[in-house]
Amino acid sequence: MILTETSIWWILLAIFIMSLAVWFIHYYFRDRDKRKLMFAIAFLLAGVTYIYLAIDYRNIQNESILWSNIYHWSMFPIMITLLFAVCTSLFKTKNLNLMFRIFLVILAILFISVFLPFSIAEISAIGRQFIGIAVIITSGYLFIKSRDLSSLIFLMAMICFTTSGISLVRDMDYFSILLYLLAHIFLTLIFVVAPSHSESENLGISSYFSLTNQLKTAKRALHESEERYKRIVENTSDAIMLTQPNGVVSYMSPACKNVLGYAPEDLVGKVPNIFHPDDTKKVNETLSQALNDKHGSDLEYRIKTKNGETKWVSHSWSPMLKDGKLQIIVSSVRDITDRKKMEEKIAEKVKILEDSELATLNIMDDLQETIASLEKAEREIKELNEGLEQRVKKRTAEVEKLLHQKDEFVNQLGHDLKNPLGPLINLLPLIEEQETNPESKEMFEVINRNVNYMKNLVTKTMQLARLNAPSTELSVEGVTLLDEINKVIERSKLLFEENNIKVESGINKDIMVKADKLRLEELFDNLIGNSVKYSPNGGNITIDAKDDGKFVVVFVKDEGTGMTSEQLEHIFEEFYKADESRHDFNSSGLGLSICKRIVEKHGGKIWAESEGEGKGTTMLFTIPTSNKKTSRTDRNSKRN
Amino acid sequence: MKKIMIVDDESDQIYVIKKSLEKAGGKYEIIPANSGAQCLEFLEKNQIPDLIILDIMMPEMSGWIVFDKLKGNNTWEKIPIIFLTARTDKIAENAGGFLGNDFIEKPFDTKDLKSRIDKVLKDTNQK
Repeated sequence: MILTETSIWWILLAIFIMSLAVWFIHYYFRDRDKRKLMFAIAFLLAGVTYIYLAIDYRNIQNESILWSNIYHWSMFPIMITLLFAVCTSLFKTKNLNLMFRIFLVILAILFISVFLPFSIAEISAIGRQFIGIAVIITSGYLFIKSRDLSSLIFLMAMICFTTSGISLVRDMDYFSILLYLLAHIFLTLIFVVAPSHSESENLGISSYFSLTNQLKTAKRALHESEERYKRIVENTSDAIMLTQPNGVVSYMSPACKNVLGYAPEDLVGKVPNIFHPDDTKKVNETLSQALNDKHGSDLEYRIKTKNGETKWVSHSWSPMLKDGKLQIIVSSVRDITDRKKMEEKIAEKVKILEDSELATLNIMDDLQETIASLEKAEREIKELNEGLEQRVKKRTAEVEKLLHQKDEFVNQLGHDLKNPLGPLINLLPLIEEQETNPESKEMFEVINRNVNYMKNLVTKTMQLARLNAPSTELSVEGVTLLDEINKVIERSKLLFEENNIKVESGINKDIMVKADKLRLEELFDNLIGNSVKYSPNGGNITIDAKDDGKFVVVFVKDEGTGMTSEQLEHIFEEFYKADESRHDFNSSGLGLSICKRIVEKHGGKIWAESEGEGKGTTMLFTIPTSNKKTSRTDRNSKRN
Repeated sequence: MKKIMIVDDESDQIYVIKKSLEKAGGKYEIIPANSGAQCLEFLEKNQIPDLIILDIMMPEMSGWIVFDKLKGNNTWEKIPIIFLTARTDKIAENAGGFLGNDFIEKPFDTKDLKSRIDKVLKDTNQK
């Protein structure tokens, strides 16, 4: 080992360079920037070279091939590093990890060459010169292209390196040391300068060195990403909440105001107590359980807003763990009041439906009961009806029997009454004729009058009884109405004359009716007799008929006393007289009852009309119309 | 001579009663009234009889109405009344029957009629 006068400067240079290497290593650990590690290694090995030079290796170069080779090897890394720098800048490669690995591999391969059994001095020198020239040309190109400061500095560093190498060969040690120093300072300077002014990645060598720029870009990207997340967090309708393990809220997104009804500043830095009293226990239990188990979950509960409103929220959270320890809890809280209200409404509706279903079932039960009781009632009514029907039948039969007995009785009575009347009617006039005593004559007159009245009564009663008897049948035939009327009028002529009554008949001679001739005459006898009875002396009786197709309506109109509406109602009842107590020898009180029975037996109806007392009465009845053909068939069918 | 007023709308009936009583030897003065209204008219003219034979079934004013009017008058209420009717069921229907002093059913037996009249007259006198 030979120390020369320049040794101390070489050592100082080595120490400075290694210090720079240490500085790079420090920044490598700070930034994890592989380039800095690359430079640190290169600088360290460069330091080794300077130590070789310090001990004046050039003069002891024949001592050992290994030693020599290490010296030549140690000079390579800085050249490779510089080559990488220009290559990277040229090709804009950014994969620093890959570069670093290639760098290490090259370094390792070169290191193996150290152990070759021959000196690599010649090859190393040629290689270094070749690389040096290439780097100088490239960096010159980069500088011309970019004209930026870092490219210039790099170029200068390269020139320094090359020049110092040449100086070293020429034994210009001081100059060489200075140039090496400058070269290293320039290289280091690029790391400081490059990022500060190179904004574009296209710019020269700075694209390799502008780590800060990349950091800036990364930071900007990070910031943008953060902003994006922040925007998302702050604009989402759910409230995003960060909670510390002790329950204190460290962040609350603005949506909190809408969701929880509190401003974020109301909750941040506090342990929130906003839960609905009924839900507090449930929330605390679930939350603490979930945090103990360190898993996320979700829960729906009610809260009380700042102004006392109750709200439903859905709270889902997930704990953030680091090394198994709870760091922070990220929560998302959503307002689900509307949903809950809807759910409640639906539940209500469902309940109503269920209730109504139940009610329907009850109603169905009731209905069934009602139906059962109705059916029972119906059965009972049916039974009752059957009983009633039977009773009615029985009673009707009884009544019919009684009526029959009555008719029999009346018939018998009439017949029996007629017998004793015979001698009275026939013999009394004979005795009356023989009697000369005026007093006796007077008595006979009274007796005669009353006997005739009685005869009349008996006759009419028997007529009525006969008509009432169901067994009595009419002998119906086609009858010319006018003929029958005229017969009666003819017969009653004397009666009309006595009372000075004029009878007018406007009946069409073509009108035919289906009737029993004798009964029809009886009917007219009674009606006309009645009209005469109630007509004033000199009055008119009008008889007319109208054929309406099916029935003939017959009118017998008088100008007599007329009737009240009450009398009109009752005149067809048996023994009814317009004046109840009127004792009239010509009136039995049965005439109109007989008329009614006759008309009804013919299938017609009879009624009376009067505008009131003193305004005359019209008796009306209907009787079926006939043409001769049908009347004959009728008669034939009767006979059959 | 006792005065008997016979009220009946049938003259024949009055005639029969009058003649019957005559033949039965009754000495009565008969006042015939052909209606209730005529009866009241006579009473108002102070023709007060000792007895009234009153038919019930009469037009316009029935025997019942006449009876009520008589009983509503201080002077007339004391006049004894014998109802005369063909329908005894109507007597039973109205106020249980014996509103008057007696009643006679048509057709009547002359002797029975006279004895009833005499009895009523006698009873009235005793009062």
